[in-house]
Amino acid sequence: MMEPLLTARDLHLSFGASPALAGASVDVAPGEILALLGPSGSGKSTLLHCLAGILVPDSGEVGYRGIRLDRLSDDLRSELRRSDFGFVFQFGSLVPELSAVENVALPLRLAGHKRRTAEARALEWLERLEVGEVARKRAGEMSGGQGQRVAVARALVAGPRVVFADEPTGALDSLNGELVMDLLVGAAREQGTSIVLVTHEPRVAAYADREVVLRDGALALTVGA
Amino acid sequence: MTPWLLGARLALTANRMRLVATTIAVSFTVAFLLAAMGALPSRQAKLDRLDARNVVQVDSQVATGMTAPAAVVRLESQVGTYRGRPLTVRFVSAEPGGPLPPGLTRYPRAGEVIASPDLADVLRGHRAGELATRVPGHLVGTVAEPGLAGPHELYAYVGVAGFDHETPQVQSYGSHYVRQPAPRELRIAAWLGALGLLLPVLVLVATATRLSASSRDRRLAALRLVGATPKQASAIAGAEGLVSGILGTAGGLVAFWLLRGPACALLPFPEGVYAQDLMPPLTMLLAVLVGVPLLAAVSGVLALRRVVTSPLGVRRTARVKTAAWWRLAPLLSGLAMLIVLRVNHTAWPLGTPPGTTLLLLGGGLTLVGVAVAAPVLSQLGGRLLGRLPGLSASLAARRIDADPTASARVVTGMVLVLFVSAWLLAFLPVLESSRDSGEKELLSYVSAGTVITASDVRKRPDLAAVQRVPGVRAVAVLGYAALTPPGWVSDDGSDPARTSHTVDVGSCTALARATRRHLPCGQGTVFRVSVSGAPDTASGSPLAEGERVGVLDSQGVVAAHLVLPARIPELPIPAYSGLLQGELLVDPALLPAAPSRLVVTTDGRADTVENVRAVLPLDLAMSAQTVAERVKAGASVYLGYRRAVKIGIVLALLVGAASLAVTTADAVAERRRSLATLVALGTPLRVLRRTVLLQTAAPMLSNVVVTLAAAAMASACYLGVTTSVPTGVPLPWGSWALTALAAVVAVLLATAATLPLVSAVGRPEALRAE
Repeated sequence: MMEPLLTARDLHLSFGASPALAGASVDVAPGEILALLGPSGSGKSTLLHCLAGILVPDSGEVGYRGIRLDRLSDDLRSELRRSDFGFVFQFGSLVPELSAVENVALPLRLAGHKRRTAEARALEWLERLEVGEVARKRAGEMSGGQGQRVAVARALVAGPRVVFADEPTGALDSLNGELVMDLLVGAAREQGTSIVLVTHEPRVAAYADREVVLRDGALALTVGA
Repeated sequence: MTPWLLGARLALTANRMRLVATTIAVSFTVAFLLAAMGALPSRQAKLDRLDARNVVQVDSQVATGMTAPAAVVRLESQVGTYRGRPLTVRFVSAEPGGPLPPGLTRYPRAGEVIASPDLADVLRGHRAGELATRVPGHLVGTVAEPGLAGPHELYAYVGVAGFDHETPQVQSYGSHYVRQPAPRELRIAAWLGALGLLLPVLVLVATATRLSASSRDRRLAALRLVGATPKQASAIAGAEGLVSGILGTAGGLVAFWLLRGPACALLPFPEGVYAQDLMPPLTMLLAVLVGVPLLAAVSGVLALRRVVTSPLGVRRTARVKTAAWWRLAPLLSGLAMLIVLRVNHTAWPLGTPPGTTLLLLGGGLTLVGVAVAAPVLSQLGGRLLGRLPGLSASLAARRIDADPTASARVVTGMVLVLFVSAWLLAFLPVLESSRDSGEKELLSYVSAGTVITASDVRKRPDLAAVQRVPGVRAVAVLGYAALTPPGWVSDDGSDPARTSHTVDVGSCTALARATRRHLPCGQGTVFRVSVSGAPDTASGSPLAEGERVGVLDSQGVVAAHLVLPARIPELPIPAYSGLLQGELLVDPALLPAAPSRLVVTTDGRADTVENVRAVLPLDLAMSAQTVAERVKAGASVYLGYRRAVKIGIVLALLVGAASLAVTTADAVAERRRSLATLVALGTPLRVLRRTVLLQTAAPMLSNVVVTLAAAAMASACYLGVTTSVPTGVPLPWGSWALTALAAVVAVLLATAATLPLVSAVGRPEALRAE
């Protein structure tokens, strides 16, 4: 295995008295698609949030390209999320008041890109993900599948090295779910982006190069390369 | 895109309802602030207008060293009443080129009248005849706005052929008097009133900014997820506040501009206030225009102070916990300070550092304490509610107990309105008692429609003509004379203990007819009027029975003598009551005197009164005033403030109720899932509706009781320590009870207005949402 892009070592994290992670460790290689599986409450979403720098573990290390992510300030982690990471969540990740194109352009605008440039790139991604026709619509005016494809476009627009996807098809029917996964994985593979995928659906997990099963906050099984 | 621009964009395109509510709330705040700040300057503007037309007489102290104008202008002012409104007429004889007062481009020639717009309307109308004596001549123009004290003033310049040299000559207009600050009571009342109005509006602003908090939280979380830093999130929230602040300030400015005309009608000035006079000072105006949007931006940022905005959502850092009893400490401390001040007010009067500190700190702490104590009082209300039977009471009590601060937030606006209103209502009797109560005494002797003229007559009235006026019931003529006891010497060597005594000259029977009272007229020809109010201290010892006294003529020389009867019966009408002015009432058969005052008993109708004035000579007509008019004139400022206070309280209650309705509706909408769950479990909607109602009513009632008690104690202490307040000013329990009732009813109605929403959101289908 090549040098990992993202590493987690012996992560522990508790919410009050309940431990969510209890010594979880995992590596993600560049361009790899990793699926985190496990029953409800096994800590897969928590692990994803720690890897993405959204949550900071109580103990353990999270490394990204040699940087200790868990030691970075909130501002620097925000900057990383803007430049190097992309996110697709089950729902609620689009800003409801903005149109699809504005939502996709948002990471670029926050990074200081001009509106015209940002929206042109956003439009390209919307076309690529086959939702160009909803570019001027707001989140509430789109179907669930369209909304998720817009979210995928937003996750990929800034050319991230890693996309974190937490149950990206959880709110979709199987057909739309497949379409979203095809587009997400296809685009990621094309630009060498890694994907860390949380799912409990075997069909979705099948898109991954490697599957990691969590139980009680720790890795129980690894399947794949 | 800078975060500020994004925030502005989101403010404009996100929840429109929230934007509109916040804008309206801020608009209210700005409009109220500007009106409150403009109220006291409007009084000053009126004084300035009056001063601008004040006559500076040639050779007066102000005109010292000035050369008299070549063109002679002589002017005499007469002040009277027309249909209950003050009437000012300036008779003027002017040579061309003389100094002009503001509002005139030329003086009226003899026989011409230049009148204010309101008076001009009367002179052009069918009632012009009523003013024929007082405003003689034909109307040739109107006095322009700079020459008037207010838009509804009855004011005129009447040209006359010529005045004698004793009539003052005009040097110029505008005496540039030394400005006096408004009386303390007035300033306190004005600021209390402004605070009373402002508090619920500020609560409305706070409420509006909390609207749709969950959607704002989701929005901020989504932005954080795509990489917005905490600072950028704060800037976005600040920009949202700034946009509402700018829109609200603009709206408030427009509302103030458009509504200040009608708002002027609320100010207690009979002649009205020009809209342009209701204007805050420029510095205050700028402070509001810049400060309010900035404050709105800061409040947007501060709203995030107690939350952690993470990509996964917004977390409250403060735990919901039961309200601690320490919350009563500020209220109790404030009241304790006021009680200490009340007990020691002779040692620490207001104006001394301890007195002023205790008053300000005690009053401020009590006001803040009412708001701070609201959660603990709400919790108490909730616990009492929990003892009642029924599912609604239990659900409401649980809900209050789970988050008493949230329950208190709903009613705090109304509670503050109630506290300030209660204090303001307690203050009204102070304003009332600080005015002269002579008119009240007069009203106990004569009917309100009785016309009384003043005591300076140049031309004898035609009494028969007065008697013929329909509606006139009786006429009594009074004169007065100055009597001197024996041993009185003239001015250069007068004995201060033996100066002259004023007596009224008039027929007791005529007075009895006019006052419709039984007087002991058959018992003599000279009566001693009982002393009431402030007696003339210069008059020394009273005139004695059987004494031989001198009668002074107009030059102050003893012209005749009069022997007072051996027995002088008492007349049960006091001197200084406004009806009699002297020590004795002497029959005209005993002491001839020129008639100087008329007491005309009428049916009180305005037509009758004006017809009486119309048949009187000018001087008497101008001075003629009914008792009702005297009372009204004396109380006009007080009545105006009372009306303004009442309107203010109603407005504040309405704003408070609106704020409460918005909060309740938003709370219901935010809890749609839990309501839907209860419905899905089989809870009837009527139970949920009753729960929502009880959830507001219980905290409101517990807060109202404590607030009223606190306001009563604070008011009683304050009234007790203010030296300008006469002893025995009653606390307005009736008004307080009425205001509290109105507040409770407003709260219940506002909550009831949101109940249809419970039915709308409480459908089990809501469980499928999100």
